[in-house]
Amino acid sequence: MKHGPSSDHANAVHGPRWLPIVLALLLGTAAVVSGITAWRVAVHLGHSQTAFSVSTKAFDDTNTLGQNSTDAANEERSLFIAWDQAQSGGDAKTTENIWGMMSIPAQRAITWWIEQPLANRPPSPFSAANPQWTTPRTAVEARNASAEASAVFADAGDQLVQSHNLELLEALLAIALLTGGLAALIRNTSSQFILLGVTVTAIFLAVGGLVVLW
Amino acid sequence: MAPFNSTNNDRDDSIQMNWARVALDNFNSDHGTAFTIEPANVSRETDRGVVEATILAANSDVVGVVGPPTSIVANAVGPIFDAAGLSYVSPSATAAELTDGHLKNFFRVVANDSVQGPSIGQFIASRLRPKTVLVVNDDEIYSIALSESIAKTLKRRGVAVKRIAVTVGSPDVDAVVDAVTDSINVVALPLLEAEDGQKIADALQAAGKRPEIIAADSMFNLESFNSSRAYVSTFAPDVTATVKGASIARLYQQIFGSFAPYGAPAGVAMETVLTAALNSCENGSATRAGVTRTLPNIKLPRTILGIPISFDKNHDVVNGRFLIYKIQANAYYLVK
Repeated sequence: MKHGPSSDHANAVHGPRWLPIVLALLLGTAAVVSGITAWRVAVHLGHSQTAFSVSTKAFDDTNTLGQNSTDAANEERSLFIAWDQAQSGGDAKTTENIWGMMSIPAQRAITWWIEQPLANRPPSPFSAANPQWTTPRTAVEARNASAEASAVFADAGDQLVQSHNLELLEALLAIALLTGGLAALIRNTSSQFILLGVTVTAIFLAVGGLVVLW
Repeated sequence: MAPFNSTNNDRDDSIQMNWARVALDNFNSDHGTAFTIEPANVSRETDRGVVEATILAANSDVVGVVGPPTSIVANAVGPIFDAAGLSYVSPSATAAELTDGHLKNFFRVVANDSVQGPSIGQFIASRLRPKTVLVVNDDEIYSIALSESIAKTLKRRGVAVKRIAVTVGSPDVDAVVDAVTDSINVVALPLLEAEDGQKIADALQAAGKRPEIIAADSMFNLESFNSSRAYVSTFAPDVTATVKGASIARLYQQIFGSFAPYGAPAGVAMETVLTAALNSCENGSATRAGVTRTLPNIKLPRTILGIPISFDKNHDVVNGRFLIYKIQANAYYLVK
């Protein structure tokens, strides 16, 4: 009795009886992991874009802070020199006008300086010894703002690298899907096992990589 | 307590005050605190130091002192601070006897002269190929003690030593020049005043004599002692050699325009006092008692000096060291 060709047999997966189930599981796993990986890529890319935007604004703010600090330092010195000259020249009106143009911190610094006995008076009101001189603090804050901006920028870069690495995992999973599919079609059992091995390895590497790069 | 006013307008005396101020504002920014300074303009004048110390001691808002800058002032004002329960951390007073126990609340963040003397002596013996070394001291206790320490170290290493004493502020340079005979190829200058050392170096050069010259830490100031090829010992490393230090150095330059890398111990002394004040704060306020209680156990793992800061039982910094620099082309180059 001959067993004629059957459409079911023509479409059946060749090889051991457990192979179709295993392939289904592997391909399904690869698909799920691929989906999760794609989601993580999107998350990291999103974080990266946000961090880049924040760092750009932060750098702008830092530059403004730094410029303000420099401008304040230049202005206070210029006004002090003009005020001192007006006062020495006995020009009370100009002295008062210039005093009014000074910032409150500069006025406080000069007032402290004037009140010091000569032996304890620094050469200038804008001197480290003057506790009322606030320019050093603004310079510190500008520097800290710059450090924060740099940290955010660095984080943006890290997130971008992370997303690129996860995209590599997606490529691995694509390989797993390909080799798994081929294993279902090929009739040669040893070739099937090789392709199965490649599929399993690619999936393991991808899962391991996903855990590490999460 | 640091100098910030000079009758000689060409000299910038304010380096320690500048560094202390940078450290203060940095600390306040990092910790959200509002510590401030009460400046006291003191360098080497003991009378002035006593006046300022009395003022600081009477000010109840003062919970700790950075300074004094010199050993002679530390000896004079220490009893005033001790009696007031104030702890004082010096960035530059190196006389060994300051930590022999007679000053209860004195601390320092730099090595003392019991380290400097042997350090200089060993450097001379191992690196300068000495035949005979002339050790010049002045009549200040700092210089006398240091020169004895250098001489002792050299003798232990089998190096011949000759001694000569000069008067601080007006050294007899001719006597020093005459003392430098053909057998003397190294001159050690542990002098208090850098200008005295410069006068001696100039006189030797004018006389056509070229011994190796090595100076001690009080002469570490290119504006006052700048003899080309001379060596200078200091407790202050080039702060830009560390990442943290380089960052602070840029900040210093941004604020003050110029840059003086070797005043950093004053910044570290300030950081030490502030850390003790913050750690001992109760109800948002620091107290002298709290600072005094906390300082002996303070630990700063990373500082701009490149070494961690903690104190031994004598209140000296642990693992303090001296470095030797060589002067070339108006700059210091680290040798050891």
